[in-house]
Amino acid sequence: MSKVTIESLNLFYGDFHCLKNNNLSIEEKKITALIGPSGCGKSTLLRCLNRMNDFIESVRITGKVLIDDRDIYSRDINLIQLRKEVGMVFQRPNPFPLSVYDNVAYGPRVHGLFKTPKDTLKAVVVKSLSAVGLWEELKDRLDVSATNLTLEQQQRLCIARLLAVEPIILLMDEPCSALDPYATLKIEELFLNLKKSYTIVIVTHNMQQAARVSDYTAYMYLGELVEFGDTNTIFVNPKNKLTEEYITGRFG
Amino acid sequence: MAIFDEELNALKEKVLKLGCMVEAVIRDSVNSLIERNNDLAKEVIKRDHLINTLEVKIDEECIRLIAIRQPMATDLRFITTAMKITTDLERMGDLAVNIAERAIELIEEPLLKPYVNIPKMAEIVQGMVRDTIDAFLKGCTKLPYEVINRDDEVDDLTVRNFNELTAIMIKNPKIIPIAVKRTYIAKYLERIADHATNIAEMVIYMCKGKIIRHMEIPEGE
Repeated sequence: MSKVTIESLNLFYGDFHCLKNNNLSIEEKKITALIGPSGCGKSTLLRCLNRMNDFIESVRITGKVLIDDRDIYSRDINLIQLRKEVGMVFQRPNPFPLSVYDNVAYGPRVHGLFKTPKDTLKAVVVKSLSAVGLWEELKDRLDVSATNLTLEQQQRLCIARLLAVEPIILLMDEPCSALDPYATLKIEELFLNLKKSYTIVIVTHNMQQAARVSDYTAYMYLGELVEFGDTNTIFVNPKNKLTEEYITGRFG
Repeated sequence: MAIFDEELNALKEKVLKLGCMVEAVIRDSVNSLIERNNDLAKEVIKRDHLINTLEVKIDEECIRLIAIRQPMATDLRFITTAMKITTDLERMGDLAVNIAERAIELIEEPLLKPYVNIPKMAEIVQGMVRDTIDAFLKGCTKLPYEVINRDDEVDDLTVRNFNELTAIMIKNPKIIPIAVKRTYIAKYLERIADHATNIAEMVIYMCKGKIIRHMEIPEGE
């Protein structure tokens, strides 16, 4: 079932036409990978899904992004609610310079859940840290600063921080590029667990990673969605010559 | 040219070399029988280890390329196809050895009747091998489909050969040991044609990404 539907989406940075008539359907509780060379627009497209591009001046967007048939670019959309429902993880882990506990509790608190009894908040922290496989490791160190964790732990923590506000979609922008291969593998395993509950969209330069974790892959080039299909087809038998050239390293 | 492309070309050349070697042993094994040339038959048997060695080399190279280059799409299909078809080629080489072994035995015996079906089969089979390798090297054309169709001719000739020889055996049971060996030879050629068919199917997979094994082939594809 389609969770997100992108329809005739165009994005301009001033005069620069960055996304050109993108159409894409993102399946619920599956992992969709966006691949393509630097500057192809894949991160921009990802950021359209929770309106992160709104922060950039001179951006103009036409077309629709529907989440469960609701256009997130319509006037009556609540942006805070939207970004709670559609969380984002970045290339470099960016925990707050707070304790592990406060990092995870931060979201529920700012979303007005701070009146919750303390034990309920604690329950959310335990649940979120468990979901990313950090609870056992950190349950006795909840008060240490998050910046003291390893990069892999920090990235997991950032994901736990999202889960604490009960999102439905997780956006990942190069989530493993700062991690070593072992940590990458562990995070990829986490994705496979998370997709049981969440719809995940991942932007990656690592084609092996896209091949390993995603169910669907979209190849983008110069702002256009060149080819979209199930991951096996894209990596074994792509239909478009441009996709073929990119994934076999004969690009450019 | 990128290093990877050079490596793929080198792999292609090795597969071509293996294909030529196999085609030659098929030709020579059948010639040794028809010309009653004992030395040629022995030579075919001796050459088998060269085919085996090259098969292993190609396999190792394919495994290395998969590990080092992590190929995708056409590259992945090309390398996996190379790996699979060399197994078929090597088996063809073994069958040519079997033909040469039976030839050595049959040369000792009187000629029952002139060889008619076997040279015909050998000619078709050699063409099949040549065309499959050609299709592998050049990419998809109609060739692999033609090869698959030619397998039926070989099957028909195998049956015809068998029927002719059983008719002789019924009349004269004394010649059964010789006649059975002649049916074996047809059977070996028929098996070689089957391996060529496997290769043709793999080449179609390589080109189109579509597995057609164990399926009815649509007309005119």
